[in-house]
Amino acid sequence: MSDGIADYVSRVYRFALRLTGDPHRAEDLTQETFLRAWRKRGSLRDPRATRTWLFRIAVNLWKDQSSKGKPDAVALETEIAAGCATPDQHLQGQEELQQAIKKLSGLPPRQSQVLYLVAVEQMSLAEAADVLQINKNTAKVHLSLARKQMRETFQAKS
Amino acid sequence: MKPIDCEQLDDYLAGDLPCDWVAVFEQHVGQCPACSAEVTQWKKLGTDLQQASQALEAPSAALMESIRESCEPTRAPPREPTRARRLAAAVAVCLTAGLWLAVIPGGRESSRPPKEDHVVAVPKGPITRVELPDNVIGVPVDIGDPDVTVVWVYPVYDPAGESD
Ligand SMILES: [Zn+2]
Repeated sequence: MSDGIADYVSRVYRFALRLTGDPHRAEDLTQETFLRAWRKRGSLRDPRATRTWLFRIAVNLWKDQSSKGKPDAVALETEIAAGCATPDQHLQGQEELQQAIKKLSGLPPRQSQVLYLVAVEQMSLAEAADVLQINKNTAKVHLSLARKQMRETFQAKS
Repeated sequence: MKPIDCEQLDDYLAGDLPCDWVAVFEQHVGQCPACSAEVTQWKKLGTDLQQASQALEAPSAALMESIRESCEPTRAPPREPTRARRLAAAVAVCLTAGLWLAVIPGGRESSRPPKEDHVVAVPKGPITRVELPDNVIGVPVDIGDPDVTVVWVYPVYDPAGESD
């Protein structure tokens, strides 16, 4: 697999974690996203937009699944970190990293998704709103709430 | 234009402040300890979450492999029947562009044009991927060209529903 595809798989998987709140469902959603993307790759006009295109496919698939009765996103809690870390990932400060992820995953799903897209994926608010198919002002409110929640946690910790 | 003050912090952090306001707001940040602290915390939050997500939320090797197999062109698989059946069960076959697949009723060559729902259109372009319905089996045929895969598609025999 070329590094380019591996990078997209990683990004889609991490975003899928924000949508599904569950590593197994995130894997399934990632797989389905790439299958659909592969089938519809002719519809990608601008390769520079690949990331947002993939994320939108993931959102659409997740919405389809949710409307068919699969449960909504749930908080990941500590499960994710335990499940994904390998021995060589025991970096200095890993506990802090785990805390950060735990806190991100503990946010309400929409807040977690918007914060993730803007803070981690470095998307503009408009791009994040486009991916999540929500109003930009709504996205802004979620981002503001998420930021305050995260700040309170970090302040409480220190 | 509204006066630039702490009110614009959310827009600034969200990258949603109009371009000509950004420099003005950054001047404000330089003079406002509250906004300055927020901006510093926001940057640290982004860095921490990026590091954390990359370190702790890697997709499994199995997922990577599975997606690679699904999305990269593959050579025609060997022709043993069991393999062909597994291929059909997987529902997906990678084919070269420009081919039309016709389901041959009962496995015999058809003298009339196949019905529309028995035809799978393959778009023009590089190697592509075609979904087969559940009720057919695809059997790859070696035509001696490594760049072209021809797959015979047979309906699954169903005595109950045999009428045309
Ligand atoms: Zn201020």
